[in-house]
Amino acid sequence: MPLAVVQQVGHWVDYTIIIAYVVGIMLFGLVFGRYAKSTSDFFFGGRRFAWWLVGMSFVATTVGSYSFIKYSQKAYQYGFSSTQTYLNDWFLMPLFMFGWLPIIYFTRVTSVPEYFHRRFDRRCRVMATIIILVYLVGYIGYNFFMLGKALNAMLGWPVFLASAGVALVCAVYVHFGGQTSVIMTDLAQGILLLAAGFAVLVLGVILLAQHGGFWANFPPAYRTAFAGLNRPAKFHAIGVFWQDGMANGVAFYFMNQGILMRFMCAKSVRDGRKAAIFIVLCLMPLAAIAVSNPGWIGRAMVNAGLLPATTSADQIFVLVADKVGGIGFFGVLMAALLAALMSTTDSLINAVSAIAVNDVYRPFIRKGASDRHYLAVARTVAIVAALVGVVLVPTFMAFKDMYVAHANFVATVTPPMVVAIILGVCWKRFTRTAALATLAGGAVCMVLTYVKAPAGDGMTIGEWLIHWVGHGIEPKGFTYMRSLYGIVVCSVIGIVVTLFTKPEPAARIDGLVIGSIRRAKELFKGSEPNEEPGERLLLTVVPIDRPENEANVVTLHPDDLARLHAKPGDMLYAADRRWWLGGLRSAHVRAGQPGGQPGTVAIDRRSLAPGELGPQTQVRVEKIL
Amino acid sequence: MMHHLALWLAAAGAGGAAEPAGWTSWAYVYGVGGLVFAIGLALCLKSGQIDPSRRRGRRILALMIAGFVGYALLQGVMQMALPRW
Repeated sequence: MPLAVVQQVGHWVDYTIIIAYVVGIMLFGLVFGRYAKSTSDFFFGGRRFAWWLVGMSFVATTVGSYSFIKYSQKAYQYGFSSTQTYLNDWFLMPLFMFGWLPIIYFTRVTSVPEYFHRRFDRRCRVMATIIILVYLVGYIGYNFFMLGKALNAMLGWPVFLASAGVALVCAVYVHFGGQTSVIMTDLAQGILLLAAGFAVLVLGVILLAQHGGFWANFPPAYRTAFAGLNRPAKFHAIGVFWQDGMANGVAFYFMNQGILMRFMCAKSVRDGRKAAIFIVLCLMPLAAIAVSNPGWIGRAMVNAGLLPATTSADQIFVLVADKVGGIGFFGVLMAALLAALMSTTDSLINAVSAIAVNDVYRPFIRKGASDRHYLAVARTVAIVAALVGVVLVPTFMAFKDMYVAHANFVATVTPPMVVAIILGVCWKRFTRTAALATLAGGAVCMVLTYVKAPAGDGMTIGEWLIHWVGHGIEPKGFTYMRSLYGIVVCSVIGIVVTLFTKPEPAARIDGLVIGSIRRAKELFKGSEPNEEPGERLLLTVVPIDRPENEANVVTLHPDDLARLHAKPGDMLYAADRRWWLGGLRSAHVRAGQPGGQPGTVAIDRRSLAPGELGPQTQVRVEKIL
Repeated sequence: MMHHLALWLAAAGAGGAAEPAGWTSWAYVYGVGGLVFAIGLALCLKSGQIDPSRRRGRRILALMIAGFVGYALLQGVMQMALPRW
């Protein structure tokens, strides 16, 4: 059913805001093109950013254009329980923060498929590459589709053309600026989408105050944190927990290349962990409110008589926005939707580019080329990825329930990968043959759940397979339970095959499993890690010239080294003292033999250039490892 | 009273929440989720990634547990108290 076209459309102020935003964000992204000088810069932003920048970028990436519409829909139908999807992540944080994150950071893997190659073998890498590319490109297409629908509803633009226009803007600044452009534009877009979401809440509450108030008009049954345990069939606590909390949560934090690359942009693992805490404890609750509240406001408006009782859920975001905002606010809201879309798809486009270059082009098509060549290929792939996403838009146009469509896609693709990653990280006994069996066998088992042939008892074969983990849910609610079925089946396959196959040699998987992270740190640093906490010092840069092979070695006074608790050879990080740059101007260096003047740090000019640090710049220096 | 009746009818008619969900949903999510959390934490402690013999390790452990408890309390209050407020 097409979304209704609202009346408050097309004022010149709104169009001005929309166009100004699109042009502005594109130019803002292009400014950072000068920071993308290598594939490391293009994919990981030089690994230099502060935790808060990584955190904001994460949330901007997580909240897509579909988020406002999808979660407003669920919020309208089921109340506060629509937030469950965003508030499930803390269960996974121990494994993520102290298992997966340090492994991928310290082993310097550039992608999940590469981890699979090092942990298992090349066959697993190929399978993981295919699965992840399908996952990522599908996500890009889905985002474009959802924004196209919103623009169609609010401005009357054709869905496909609207999608294509926004895809072009996104592709342009990713093409030129890579990950640095992604992170910096995400910061701006994240602030905008959260602010716009909260603006709808405030304006909605103000409007309702004249009609009895929001709380009085919001039914008690809608005020709970969770929906019913196993009903209604289309939205229940068990299903949301397994689908979004477990399968989707692990897929996001452990498998989504865009998200992983975000954490790999952090200046250190410690900052990556701080970002994770900031995200889960602070930003995700805010994001949950920002995207859901139009549905809550809409439900209260229906009860207050401000909207007709026949208002359908998929119209609610658009209608509430129309009701609460005046001229100009509509444009801001559209800009926020665009922000949500672009901040998600820019990460996905960059992620597709990373996997295409590092897991397909470099190993299989052209080995041993220069980094400059691979950078050029990465930029080209960014454009191609956006194009493919747009081409997928008609596919999503065929599905009626947007949330179910997205859930089907994620539920089918992710359980085999998710189980292989978790078992690979946590269980050193898990073998390469078992990993391959999990991926291939798991995929087959997932596809079987779509078989419509009757199995007896009024169920199809697919439903019969899922009902074993059905928790008493009606078959029409099995979409969510497909994830649990996948997790169980893939885990059984992985464990059974492992027990019948030869273990991997310990030396081969050193640093790649949770019990061997110390070894990963040694390999990362090249020597014994130094984890004694030290101070963070404010020093003045003194540019020097060193031999080629010592370009990243710095000289510090013995007293300053002592305060840092650092020794020669330790990894240090120096960033412009202006904290609000978030590490944009910074350098990763190593401590050399002590010397120089107290309060100064002598850095080779070649190390200063990438981070645009200059002579006499005041920098904060800290020890990393 | 008519206002409350209208609210209940509207909720049932919309095909959404017909009556407040009880504590079972919260118990399931925090029971199963708590198990996942506990297993993850146990693996981190066993592997030495979180070292409670050091001050930093104790702070991290406290933070992890506090986050879990905080969320449990928040959603517990939402589940049981807000519908009655």
